[in-house]
Amino acid sequence: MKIRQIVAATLLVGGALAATSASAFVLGPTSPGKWGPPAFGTGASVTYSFMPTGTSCAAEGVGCTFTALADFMPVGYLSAIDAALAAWSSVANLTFTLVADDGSAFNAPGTAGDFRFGGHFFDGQFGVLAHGYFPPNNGNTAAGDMHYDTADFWKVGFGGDPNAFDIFQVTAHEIGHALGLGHTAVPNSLMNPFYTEAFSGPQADDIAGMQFIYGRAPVHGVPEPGAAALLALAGAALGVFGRRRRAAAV
Amino acid sequence: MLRRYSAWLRTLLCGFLLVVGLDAAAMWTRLSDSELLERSDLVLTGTLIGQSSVRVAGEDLFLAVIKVDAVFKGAADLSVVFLVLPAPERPISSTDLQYRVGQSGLWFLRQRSAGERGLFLADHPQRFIPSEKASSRIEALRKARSN
Repeated sequence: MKIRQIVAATLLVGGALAATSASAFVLGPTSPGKWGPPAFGTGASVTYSFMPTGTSCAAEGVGCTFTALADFMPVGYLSAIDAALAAWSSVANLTFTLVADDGSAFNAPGTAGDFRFGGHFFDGQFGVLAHGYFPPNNGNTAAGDMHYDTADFWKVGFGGDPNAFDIFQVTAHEIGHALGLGHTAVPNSLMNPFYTEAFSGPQADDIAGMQFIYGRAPVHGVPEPGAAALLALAGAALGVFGRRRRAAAV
Repeated sequence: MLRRYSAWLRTLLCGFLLVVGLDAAAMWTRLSDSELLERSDLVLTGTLIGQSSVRVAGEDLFLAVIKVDAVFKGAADLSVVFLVLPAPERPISSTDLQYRVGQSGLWFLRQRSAGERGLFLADHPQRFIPSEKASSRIEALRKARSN
């Protein structure tokens, strides 16, 4: 009896191990750790905004103020951020809407997006590139905010300057955190903590994690013709076919 | 027979815990050994012996204390170092690295700000290497120091 119990336990642990290696995504530390309804597998609508220069981030450190992305990122940064949002909404049940930002301080009440984008000094060039705040419950309004290091060089697209970092790749990673994913040890995964240009955007493990939290993106199929239209089409085809046969017989 | 199954179970459980325990907590750039050394103000071996919330110059900080064993870069006469950690009550971001009391190893610390002496950060995953993985690095640093 004991042997049977041990074998069953072994199989259970083995199953858990297999499941872990198949899907090694890691959920963030907050609870419920997602936007929208708290149940995993349910979709969410999330708003986002861009903080103006001078917005206070004193809650992160005395004297900290934000710089608007437009003031330190290259032309094309908005398209890169839109593409990063789309990379996630194309695979999971998520919609993103741009709203205005009133410049209220970080983590203070105000009128702004769920996600707020801005930049401040972190640690100079290299090292920390950016960070993202995990979803609710997490502070007052900090959840979802993404901050980039103003001391780093930013670029649109891979290649080019080896000392600059692709805005799309870093943003897609931070959005992963802002939506509820933690870091993973899977090497070829967007949610691995280290920057790479070996691939672009969310990979299989990242997508599995996001779909676990929000469900799959809804499929918008090609509209099917109605039954009457199909019948009319079939009738017309038969009519044409019959006429050709009669013409051939004559 | 029973003993054999127990051994398998133990092995599987250890493997499971190892996989589950891989959670590291931002996006960072990977630093080479020389970059890490260059970007660190203080390199030492030591043990985290305590942590507490304190108020320093009107700022609430969550500080950890590292008992220093050996210094490889920076002031050689230090016996303890103060490490600024993310406060538990603060909103949680992806750059928050937590360290526990008892963690011992090689620390590559950077000063929190240029004008402020005595407060350090270990805010990059490569800035702490646990003792069991640090022996070759410590040896290399010892050799570099003696040369």
